[in-house]
Amino acid sequence: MQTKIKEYRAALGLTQEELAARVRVRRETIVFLEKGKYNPSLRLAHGVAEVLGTTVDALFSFEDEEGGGAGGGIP
Amino acid sequence: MLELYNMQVTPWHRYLYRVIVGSILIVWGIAELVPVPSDGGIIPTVLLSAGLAFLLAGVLRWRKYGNTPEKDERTRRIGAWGLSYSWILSLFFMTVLFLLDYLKAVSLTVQAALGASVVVMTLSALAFQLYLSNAGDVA
Repeated sequence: MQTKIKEYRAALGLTQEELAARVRVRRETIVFLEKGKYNPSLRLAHGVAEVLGTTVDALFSFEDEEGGGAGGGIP
Repeated sequence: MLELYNMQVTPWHRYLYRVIVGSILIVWGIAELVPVPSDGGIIPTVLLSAGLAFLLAGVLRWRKYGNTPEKDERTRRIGAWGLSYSWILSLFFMTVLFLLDYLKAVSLTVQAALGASVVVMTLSALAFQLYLSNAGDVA
């Protein structure tokens, strides 16, 4: 999983701790999210996207995993 | 009253409650010591210990987590999966203990078997949770 959370967060001038406080998770969770090591729930993904002023689709991509890219889904 | 009910409890409130409860218990424990107790002061000791524990937990966790929550969906998931892995390992361990005892390879007392199981369950749960916590996720 790849994310653009870090880029969007930096563009808004938010620290990891500030983002964590706004979506009510621990800072470590934001760290793992930015590294692509944590698959968030839909609720958290939506919350992060809302705080960063973007969409879930723009933040997360799954190009290297089975099942295709972000656009892949119901045939 | 309605405003108090609707007030959002932030992490800061939770830490503050711990500090307040801890301070009250400490003051209460000191007050219990004023006429020196003849029974060795069991009640003041319990009150002071509990008060210190609450106070330290409030202050240290505030310093560690700040205004972010102590637990979130990732840590809860890791906690649950760590316990699940630990349960499976403990089941395997107890099966091995049973077989060793059945085959008379070792002679175990009930106390020793229970003690070993408790240690394996506790340590394996902590180890799995620590491993998953460092990995970032359960997947």
